[in-house]
Amino acid sequence: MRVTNNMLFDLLTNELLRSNERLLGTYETLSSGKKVNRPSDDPVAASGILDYKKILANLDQYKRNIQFAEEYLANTETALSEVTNTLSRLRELAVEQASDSATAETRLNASYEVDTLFNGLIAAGNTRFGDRYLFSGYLTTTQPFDTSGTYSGDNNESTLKIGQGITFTYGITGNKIFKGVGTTGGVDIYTIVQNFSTALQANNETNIQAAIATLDSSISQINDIVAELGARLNRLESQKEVIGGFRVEAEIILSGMEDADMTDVSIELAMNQTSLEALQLATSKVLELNIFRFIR
Amino acid sequence: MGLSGILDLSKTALLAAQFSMRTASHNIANASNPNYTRQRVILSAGVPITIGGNSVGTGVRATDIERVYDSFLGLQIVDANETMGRYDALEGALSRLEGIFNDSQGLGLGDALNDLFSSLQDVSNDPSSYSARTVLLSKARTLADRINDLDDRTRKEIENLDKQIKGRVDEINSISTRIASLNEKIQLSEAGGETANDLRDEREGLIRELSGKIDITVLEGGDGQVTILAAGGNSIVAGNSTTKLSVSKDPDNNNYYDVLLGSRNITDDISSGSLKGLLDARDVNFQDTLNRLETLAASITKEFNVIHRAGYGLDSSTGNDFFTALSPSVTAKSTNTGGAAATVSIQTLSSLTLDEYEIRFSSATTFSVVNATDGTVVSSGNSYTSGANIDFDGIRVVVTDGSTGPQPGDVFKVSVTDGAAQNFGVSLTAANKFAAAANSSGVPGDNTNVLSMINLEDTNVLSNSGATFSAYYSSLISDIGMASGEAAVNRGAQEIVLEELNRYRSSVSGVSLDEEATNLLKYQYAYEAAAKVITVVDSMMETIINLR
Repeated sequence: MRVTNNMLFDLLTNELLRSNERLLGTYETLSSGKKVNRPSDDPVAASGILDYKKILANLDQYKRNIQFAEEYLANTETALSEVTNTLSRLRELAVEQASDSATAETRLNASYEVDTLFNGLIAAGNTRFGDRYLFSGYLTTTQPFDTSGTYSGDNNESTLKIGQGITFTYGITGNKIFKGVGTTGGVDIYTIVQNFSTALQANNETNIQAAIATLDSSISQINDIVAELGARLNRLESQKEVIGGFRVEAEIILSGMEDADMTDVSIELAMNQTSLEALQLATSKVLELNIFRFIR
Repeated sequence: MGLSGILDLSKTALLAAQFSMRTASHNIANASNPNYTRQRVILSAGVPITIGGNSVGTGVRATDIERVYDSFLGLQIVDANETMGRYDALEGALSRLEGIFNDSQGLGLGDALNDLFSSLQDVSNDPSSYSARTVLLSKARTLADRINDLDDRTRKEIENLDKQIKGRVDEINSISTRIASLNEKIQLSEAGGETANDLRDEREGLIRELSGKIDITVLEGGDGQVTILAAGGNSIVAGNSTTKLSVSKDPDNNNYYDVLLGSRNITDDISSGSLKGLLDARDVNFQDTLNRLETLAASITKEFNVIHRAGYGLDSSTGNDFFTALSPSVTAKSTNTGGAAATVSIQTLSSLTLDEYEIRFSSATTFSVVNATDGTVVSSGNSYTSGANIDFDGIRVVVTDGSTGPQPGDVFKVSVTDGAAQNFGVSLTAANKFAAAANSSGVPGDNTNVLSMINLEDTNVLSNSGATFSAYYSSLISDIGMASGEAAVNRGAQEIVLEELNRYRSSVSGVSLDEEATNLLKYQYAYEAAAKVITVVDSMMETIINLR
């Protein structure tokens, strides 16, 4: 082939441009640490990256939801353990005051303590989490119990999502806990305590003895709910582990699609640099070759 | 023939050597001119004379200066240039498109959508929390900003493409004018029989430049003039006259430019060159992207609003839109002959398909409503009355007579997605009006309605493609990347083809300085030899004159 000067110039210019373009590509990968810097670098991966970012965002949100539910349930548990302690003290009082050694005076004195404990139970029923009442169903801004223990909330139990398609119920209504509504054999704890106080004031030994049994039912009602809370917390715990596992997996897949292998990139960079330098050297040598240098 | 005859003969040799030297210098001078075709002096022996029955030579003559040129290669380069121009324009445009939709920096629509759904979950966890609701509204506004921004940048880029199309048309006109004027000059200067080498080089350079912009066919006539047909057979240069291209806004294609030749619309005839690349980028890739963005925005608006309207805010308000309500549009086609006008409204939001529709009149009273996306007839009537309701798929159109009623062939286009991305915004301003509750008023902890909204995230709401919001978006991104990648690969491959052809051209027609240098030496020696002959003849003449 007949080689002309423009051919040489064009060839060298084009190769230099292409070599620089490759080098720029390597620099971009190196500086961003990503092998997909624009959708056309790998259209399938670009779409996959978006999908996995959504999955990760969801998993993070589920984790936050679980954390929220855990805090909520922990507050519920604290409130209920107070209730259990109070009810145990009430049962002690009932056993003491049901004995023959009790007098009208000790029973009247005990009734004062019972009334105080009753107020504590009402306060527990009105426990707040942040600015919402724990036990008023969906009516989170309504105080669930008045001083006499009448319920003003509703029977809805709050739910949230802890996984794709997994709804978790974290709310328990005061009506269920303290009034036994919606549970088989449920008892109205407030009425029981009020009746106990009345029996003490009236020095009615039969009713005081009856209170021991009803308080036992109250304690077991609360214990059942605490056990249920434990089961719910376990479910959250296991779901948290599942999500953690998913998350690690998703991170690995995302990184595989998105992140550049730095070793490869460094080698590529060195190769591209070497080839550009060689080309530059060749260019300077080739352009020197010219017969005019020899004609004097 | 005497000695003086030899002097004459030597003179032709000196002249030929000078002539060749001059051509070599011309070649050297144009060594880096890309359009230049190297020239070669054709030497031929002088007409012999007969002396004493012998044919005796009379020296040398430079009969012609010819261009060393492969005309087939010229045609190939024109073809390759057209394709190169097309892919180059397309790649340039698409790389800007994917720049707009590049989510890899983490500021894209995908993240905004994820954030919106996350903040919905936070509201769902604590529906009465004012702060969670405020965050939700701000995330919804961020999503709106992203969608508005993508829409705006895509539209600006389309505008820019439209301007470039006009620019290319102007350039084509200017080149064709210059070619026509060169045609005239070449015809004049070649009338005597010689070749107008340098003018032809200039014209070929212009033809190559032209071929990068539009597909052309070049026909050379016997008089040295070329006729150029563009866009599949439309003459733009004939002899010394040109037919100009022009642009005009097309009301049926978003008022984008059509390309006209005289009064004929040749937009669809253009098959290559950068003009084709720009038209494809504008009408196919960018328009499709914009349409899909609008469909996504309309779908988000529709699905959220349907659920939000059914729910209740903390202040018991209900029936409110979460996102700015869709504004449907109806436009009479520019080809309509009747005077009827139409208005459109949405009757049932949940029944919308987000497809495009056309109301087509086949007579003054008969019409059918066609879903232009899938081609099905969704409604029809044979007794059109001015002002009567035409209801279909949740939409109500009212066609009213103007100066006349509708005429056969009249078409009204109906769309609920047009401008949906541009108008996308958050309608709700007060956080307490966000309808998290599904049941009647006064239930702050009810999150049933917000849970329905959260479920949208994993529902295939975009009916035509059976995709979720995010899957629809990621397939859009993937398609943009695919188109851009393909254009880049095509451009790269075409670049190599063109380089190869240019290399062949350069090999045949280009100037080699080494070759010219040796030629210079050759002509120098030829000149010196001829001069020597003259010296010898001179001394011979002296010998004769000095004879005593």
